[in-house]
Amino acid sequence: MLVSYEWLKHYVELPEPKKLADILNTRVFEVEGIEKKGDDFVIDIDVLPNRSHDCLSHIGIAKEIALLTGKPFKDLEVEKIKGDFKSEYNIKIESDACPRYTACEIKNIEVKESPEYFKVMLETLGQRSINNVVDIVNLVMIETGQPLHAFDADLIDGKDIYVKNAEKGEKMTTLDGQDLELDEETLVIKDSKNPLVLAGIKGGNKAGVNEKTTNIVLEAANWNRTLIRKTTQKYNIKTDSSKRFENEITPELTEKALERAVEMISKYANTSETKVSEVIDIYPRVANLYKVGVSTKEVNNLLGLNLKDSEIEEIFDRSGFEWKKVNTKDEVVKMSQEFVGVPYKLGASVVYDAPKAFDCSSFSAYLYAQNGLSIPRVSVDQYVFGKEITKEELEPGDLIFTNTGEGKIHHETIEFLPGIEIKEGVDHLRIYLGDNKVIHSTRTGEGVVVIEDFSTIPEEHIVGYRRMAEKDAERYVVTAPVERLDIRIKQDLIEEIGRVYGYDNVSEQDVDSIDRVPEINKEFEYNNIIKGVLCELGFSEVFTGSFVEKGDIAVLKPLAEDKGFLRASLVPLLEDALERNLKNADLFGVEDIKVFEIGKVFAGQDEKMVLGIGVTSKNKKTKSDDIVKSAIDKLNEALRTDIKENGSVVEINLDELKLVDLNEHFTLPQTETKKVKPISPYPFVLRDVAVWVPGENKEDEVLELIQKEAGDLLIKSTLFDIFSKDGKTSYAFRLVLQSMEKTLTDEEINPIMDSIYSKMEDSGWEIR
Amino acid sequence: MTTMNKEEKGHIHPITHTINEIVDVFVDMGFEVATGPEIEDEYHNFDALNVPKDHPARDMQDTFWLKGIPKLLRTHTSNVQARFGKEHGAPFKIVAPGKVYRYEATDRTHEVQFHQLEGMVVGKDINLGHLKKALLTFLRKVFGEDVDIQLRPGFFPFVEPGIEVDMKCFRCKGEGCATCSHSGWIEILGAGMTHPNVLNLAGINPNEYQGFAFGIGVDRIAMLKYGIEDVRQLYNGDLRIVNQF
Repeated sequence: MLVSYEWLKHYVELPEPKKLADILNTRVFEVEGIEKKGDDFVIDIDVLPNRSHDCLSHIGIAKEIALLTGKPFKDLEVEKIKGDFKSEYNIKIESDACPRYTACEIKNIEVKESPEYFKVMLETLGQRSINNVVDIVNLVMIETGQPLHAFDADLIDGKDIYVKNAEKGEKMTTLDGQDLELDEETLVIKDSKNPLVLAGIKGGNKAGVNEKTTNIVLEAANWNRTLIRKTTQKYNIKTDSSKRFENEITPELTEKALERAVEMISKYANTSETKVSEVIDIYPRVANLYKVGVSTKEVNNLLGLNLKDSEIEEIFDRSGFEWKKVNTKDEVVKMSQEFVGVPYKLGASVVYDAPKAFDCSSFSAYLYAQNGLSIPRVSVDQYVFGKEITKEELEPGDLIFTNTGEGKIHHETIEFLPGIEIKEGVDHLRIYLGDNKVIHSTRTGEGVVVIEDFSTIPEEHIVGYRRMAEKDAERYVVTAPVERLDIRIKQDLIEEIGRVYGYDNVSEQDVDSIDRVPEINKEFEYNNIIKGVLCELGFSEVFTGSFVEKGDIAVLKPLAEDKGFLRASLVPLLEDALERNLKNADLFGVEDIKVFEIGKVFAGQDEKMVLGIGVTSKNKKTKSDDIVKSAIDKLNEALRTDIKENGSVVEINLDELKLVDLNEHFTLPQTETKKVKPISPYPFVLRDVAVWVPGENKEDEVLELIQKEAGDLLIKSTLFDIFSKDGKTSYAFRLVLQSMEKTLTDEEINPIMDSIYSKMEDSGWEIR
Repeated sequence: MTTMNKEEKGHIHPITHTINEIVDVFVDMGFEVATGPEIEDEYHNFDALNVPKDHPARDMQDTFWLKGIPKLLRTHTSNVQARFGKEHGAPFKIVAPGKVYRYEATDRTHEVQFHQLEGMVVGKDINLGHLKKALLTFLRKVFGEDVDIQLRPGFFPFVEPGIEVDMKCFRCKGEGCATCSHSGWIEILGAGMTHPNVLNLAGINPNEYQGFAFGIGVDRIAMLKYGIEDVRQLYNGDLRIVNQF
């Protein structure tokens, strides 16, 4: 996301841009770049997916900077909308995918060019100025992270605005002129006749704000992220708005963004007659504030630190987290009794229904969550989650599980360690309060009720006692700020503490040995053993592509027409590799090309690990089959196998080989190579040089002379013929010359060869 | 007398060398090698790793889906951690090298097939300091004893906290050069503390065990270390790079 340095300054004191980038980089987000634009700096921040709920906004980034620098955050202060009149519009939400819809009507405004300041800011952030109202809507999104939409009220048919799925085949033209044909899974905002907006994604042209607009309806709504994602993919439309919704933002944000936009429109698009309606706010299900718990010990155990309570508390404060430290079990016991009489509702949600309705396990889950410990939602999972204790060990706050024999009895865990069989079955639980008292949420009509003597529970119903937390365990209960949808489990809090404290303060620790003897992975080890055997025999390892033109298993979206299948065999790939490498045989200074590959092929419906071996040669007399055969003989010897494949290119199914177990890890010799020479895209040129030299064993001398004269263009020299006669020796070298910059011509090569010849003659050698 | 100047030994692919070098460091630290399938189901590639359905995080790894079979080509060797935990239970220390696939346009630094090495440790008291030590040990072995690292916040669905690891540039020692885009640091790998949901789905009690995981782009390490400029040269069967090893 692009962020303006100057804009951020409205909310928080900033260090120099470079320093700011360093802080962001190491403590929260990677900075992709800083660019000076006019009097401002644009910072390109790569906001991580888990912070895209709250940080795709200047306010989000500013808050983060305040947290990291310890400077105060000056929040945006906006006035509540008082409302000059009551809007006649009816908003009708006919979808679950719109958790909140907030809107108001503004009459008698003037749409015109934006003030210079808006234009500069939009341009700085890579956006285009349209008019004052559209710009304000955009700027408020960039500021708060909440997308908004403005409709020209006079272009809306009727006074009813619907949020509902489109009809199949319904047409809509977007603001930028794209014609869409909608289907019945597409959520739109529509008037009595037509779709007006592809909900949460893009406005239509029917009621778009233009220079003639005088009355508007301004909307700030919240949309379900999954729906937005599916719709953007279906229509291939991605916008700044859809990006924010598909990352999920809190429905709490709509009101403030609307207020901010109204405040700005009232200031920059107003006339003497401008009137703002009361806010229409449709918000059927308000979630409880999310509570997350953690203990100092858990923080230190995961981060490998030794933080004190006070250090953790300071970070919570800087993060703007409301927190308290509680004795979890004491508080659970105390709090439980506040809810006596709360009605029973099967499947009650901890987030939305509590504490107005509970079932037996949502009651315990809610109580523990409110007091710093997240336990599973369902009774059978709580049963497995808790530590097993006896009846005698019961303490206040422990749970008593029963199988009443009626209704749905759970015999298997659902979410916590899913799939564990619970023979005894669980369907109900009670919380022990001490002195034989228990409390539970019962479906028998009373809701939450205290039982004075739990021995009245039929003994045969009780399946076990479980402890969720140890006595006296103190835990922090943190209320996650509404926009921080990333703070949901204790590890999220630990991350917050770790990054703010600084990961560079974590010191290295050796992993103690663990209680497991490492096993030898036969597939991995044998692959290396085979590579070692073949390498010794002069075979080189290649990797060829996995995608081919024909095969047994096809991919859904091939990257190219001739890459639609997974390879079913290595043979054609190795044949191709041999042929291409043969052209470079002189470059390698060899006659024979000998390659192998170990990898997966995909034949039939399955994958298998295979070894492919292939040989080809420049020399027609070479018997490739024999070279392969002798390699296979060596493999059979080394692996104690009986591989029978033959040919010049063969494939061996390694999964089918019966290989003996290994006792230890096998290590291939490491390479000495430090840095590779790049491959030239230009062809190489060959020249042969043969020379008589007096005496014997002069090949180094000859080579030295050649190398000196040929210089960097000489990339390979191979001695291919040598014989002695009459006290002198003939050396024949094949020279490979190649440039990284161009195709070499005789004009470049001839002078080099001439100087080699003349220097040889100078040495008294005889050119053959 | 006539002789051909034949090369005696063959050459091992630089990716194999790189994997082996890394594996050897971790084997010395008591890790074992784990392998898994390249054709994988959605559960083991995504669900078991806490990548929610329809979450933008799935955008980060565009996937090759197969035709006619409800499976995919694994996008990371993290599928092995999901499988290993379920099969063997905790504790364990594993590295999982292997080939992975991503649906993306190829260029000098991107191939549709490449190699990854995933590591995971699960035990009673495994913490971030252990992760830091393991990574430093590996990077110092591969890039030299004077290597230093910095840990930054990162996001990967299967870890929390998630960490991006930068290595001080081994060429310029942090002064800034072409290798590190003049920043002094090289983004080298992603890591973090294993997300409790990942342990839970593998049947490992997240209240008893915790762990760390890291994912190493083997090709990237090989390219950095050996100065290989184009990743595509590693997968076209051409010996011109291989023969230099």
